[in-house]
Amino acid sequence: MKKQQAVKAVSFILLFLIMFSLTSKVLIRCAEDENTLSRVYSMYHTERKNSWSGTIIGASTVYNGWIAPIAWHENGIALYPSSWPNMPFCLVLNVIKDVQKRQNTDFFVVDIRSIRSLTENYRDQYVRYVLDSMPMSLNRADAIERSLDVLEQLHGEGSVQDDKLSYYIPFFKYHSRWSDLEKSDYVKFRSEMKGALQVPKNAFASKKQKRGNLTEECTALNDLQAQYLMELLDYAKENDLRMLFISMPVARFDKGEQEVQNEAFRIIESYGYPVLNFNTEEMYAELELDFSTDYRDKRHLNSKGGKKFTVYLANYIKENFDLEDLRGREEYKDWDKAYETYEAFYADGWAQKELEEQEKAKQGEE
Amino acid sequence: MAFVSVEFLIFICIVCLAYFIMPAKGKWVVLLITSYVFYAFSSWKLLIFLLITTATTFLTGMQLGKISKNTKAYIATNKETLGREEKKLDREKQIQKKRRVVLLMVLLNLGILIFLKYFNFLAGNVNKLLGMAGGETQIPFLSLFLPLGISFYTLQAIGYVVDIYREKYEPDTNLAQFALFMSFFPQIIQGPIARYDHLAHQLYEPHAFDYDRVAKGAQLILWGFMKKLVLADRVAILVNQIFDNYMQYEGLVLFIGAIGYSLQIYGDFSGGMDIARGVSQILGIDLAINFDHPYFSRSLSEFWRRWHITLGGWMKDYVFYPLSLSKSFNKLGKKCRKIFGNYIGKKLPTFLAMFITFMLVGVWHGSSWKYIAYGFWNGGIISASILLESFYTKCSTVCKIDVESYGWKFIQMVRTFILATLGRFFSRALTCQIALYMFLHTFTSFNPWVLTDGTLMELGLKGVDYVLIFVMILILLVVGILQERGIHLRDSIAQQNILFRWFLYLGALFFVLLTGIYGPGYSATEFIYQQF
Repeated sequence: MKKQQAVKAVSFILLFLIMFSLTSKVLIRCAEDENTLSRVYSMYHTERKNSWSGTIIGASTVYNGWIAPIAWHENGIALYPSSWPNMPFCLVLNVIKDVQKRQNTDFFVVDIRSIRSLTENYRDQYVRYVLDSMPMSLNRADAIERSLDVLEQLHGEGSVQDDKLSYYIPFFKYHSRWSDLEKSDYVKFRSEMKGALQVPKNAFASKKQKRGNLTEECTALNDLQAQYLMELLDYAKENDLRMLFISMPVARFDKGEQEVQNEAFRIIESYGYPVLNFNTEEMYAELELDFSTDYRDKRHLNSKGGKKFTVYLANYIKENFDLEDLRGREEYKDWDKAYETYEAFYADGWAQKELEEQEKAKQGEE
Repeated sequence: MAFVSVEFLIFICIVCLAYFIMPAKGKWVVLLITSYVFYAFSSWKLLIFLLITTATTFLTGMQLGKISKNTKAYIATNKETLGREEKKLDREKQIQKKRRVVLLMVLLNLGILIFLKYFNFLAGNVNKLLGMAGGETQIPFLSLFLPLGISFYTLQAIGYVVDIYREKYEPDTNLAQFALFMSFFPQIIQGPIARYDHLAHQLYEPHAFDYDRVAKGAQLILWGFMKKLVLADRVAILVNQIFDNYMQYEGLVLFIGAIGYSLQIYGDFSGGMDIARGVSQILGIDLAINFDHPYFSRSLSEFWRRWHITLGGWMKDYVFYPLSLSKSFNKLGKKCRKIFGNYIGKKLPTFLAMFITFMLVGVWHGSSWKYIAYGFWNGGIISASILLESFYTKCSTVCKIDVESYGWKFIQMVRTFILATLGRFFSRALTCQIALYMFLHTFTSFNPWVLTDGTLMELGLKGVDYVLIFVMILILLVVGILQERGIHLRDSIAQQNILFRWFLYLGALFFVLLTGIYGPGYSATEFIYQQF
């Protein structure tokens, strides 16, 4: 092969790969709803490098309840949520490793409730939420392998529906979206409120919740839960990570799941890490949670509840962990802006909600 | 390892890399090893059958060569002492010996094929007959696995042995090289059925890396993927819907199903051939062409000369001619001429040989009555057209039809396409009864409104899918017309400027990647001919 031909061939392949990568991003971007993948995109692609104080990892309860701009405003901590619906607990370690590639933080908050994912409820689509937009790396490959392995352990051999390769190259799964692409697919999503939930119908929904029964009993973790919890704790110890394990406040909590969580907390404490269980009567009182107004459903806080929770947790973190107050710095102006945007979003949202309710009441009277 | 898989693309890259970095002497060894690896990946448990066929074919060739050589040597050394009659006798003895050897090889290999492919079908039918006769004995069914590509490599092996028997060429003397001829990975699964004198020397000779050839091979592979993934597998959704739920449909919908299958099987098979030929071209090997725009045919016999050309050619050389030129057919011809007169008497043996050949073509496709019916349909129409040839000529003369006009040619093409398509009911339907049901119900209901009342949208495809099918048909049509006019498209494109070329190549690549039917959410379909 002549030199000129080699250059031509390499250029063609490079051009193809660039186009493939760009197309892939467009196709995957909105493959799921904007609360999930777009959040990851903003984390990986639009957040400034080495700008986070830490991250809070967990399932949908986290991005519903943690309002990062408020924590920023109150305490000057830039704690971004890394959370996806039904996030598989086995991926927490991979997320930590991935965050550490872009953010030089050693502080991680983990919602231990996601340990419940390692049961028969585990689905491959939950894996996709996390992994499809994670940049290609050995860590991502490890995440794919371990999550599919868990899937097979829980559901039996052959339970991985999709071709394994499509986890490595999500283009193969999403290519047929080409005919459904919309304008938003071509626009790089940026979270203007630092990962806070910005879907009004969820943020401003309010539904009275029955209080569930609480228990302090413990039950043994299953093999997978124990394996991945130990692995996470060992990794944290080896790498001197500062960790805080919490249980996000929910209205009703299955007794079995509570027992698993209590056992997990027991193990975590034996490693010397602090835990914060928000699902106790004392905590509910401490947060001043109103079960008639602060939840949008039995598992998720709305923005009112989220505000209460965030203020409390941010104060706790500020008091117990030595995190630098980053307020007032030029490079963190986007966090100030995020707070302003959130405040306006919050005020408008609830005002709108009130108007709608008044409208409804009027129509009822008529 | 499926052709339509990333694994296969990676495999090709590894093969090419190994082939081109290997010194000239060892290149064929790379092909041999990779061909066996490819086969083992797909069906390692059944590799033994390929080995048996390879060994017996090779030994038969050697034995035939030895017999011919010995006889020639004997005649040459005793040239002066042997009389003419004695020489003739020796030759006849030689032929008898060779025939026995060939017969043994054919019986063994065809026996394996028949046993594995047709045993259960034959057992089922014998059991039915026994049941009808009141017998209680039943032949048990066996759980048999069909080795991948057995229908193709068995014919290839028989062709080789018969050619050696006919002294068309010398037998191969290197078992390992011959094993490569029998197992060359791009063509073992679904053909083309190679001829030894065309393929073997290409496989054994070393081919250096040639940038232009590699680029053209890659283009051909892409073209194959386009036919398979964008057209065939998309139409397959509609075809499966109609054929799997045939009771729900009638009239035009059933015919649309058959047309769909005509498109699907063309895209599938010819696409597979393009991939096989493209891979071979990268390696410097020119595989036989298996398709020559069959849907441009003006008669069904022409269609079969353009469709699966290597099977047609094989059947012609090893079944049709030996039959029609055999002594018994000669005798039959004479008898027929006496009974039916010169014209029909002369045509009848050809008609019969043709009919038998097409029945075999049908049976080759699978062990089911529907394939026999498929052969019957094609053989019947072609035989009838032979018999009625003079009648057609008279008709066109009386009606003053210009048989060379575009209009008439177009009508003939459409007619041939419809005839070929109607035959597809037999090859696609699950059973012969279902095929007959669908065939008959195509004509018993007149429902053109299905084209406009939304029925088409309930057959598993969306509007955009129909647009894509239409685009693909248009592309195939334009490419076909240009190729029929002798334009070598890839050469013409290669002469264009780089911007245009890259735009075209990347456009085609992304067209396949985006619109192809593959990946999670779709059930990837295997190549249809791979199952034969």
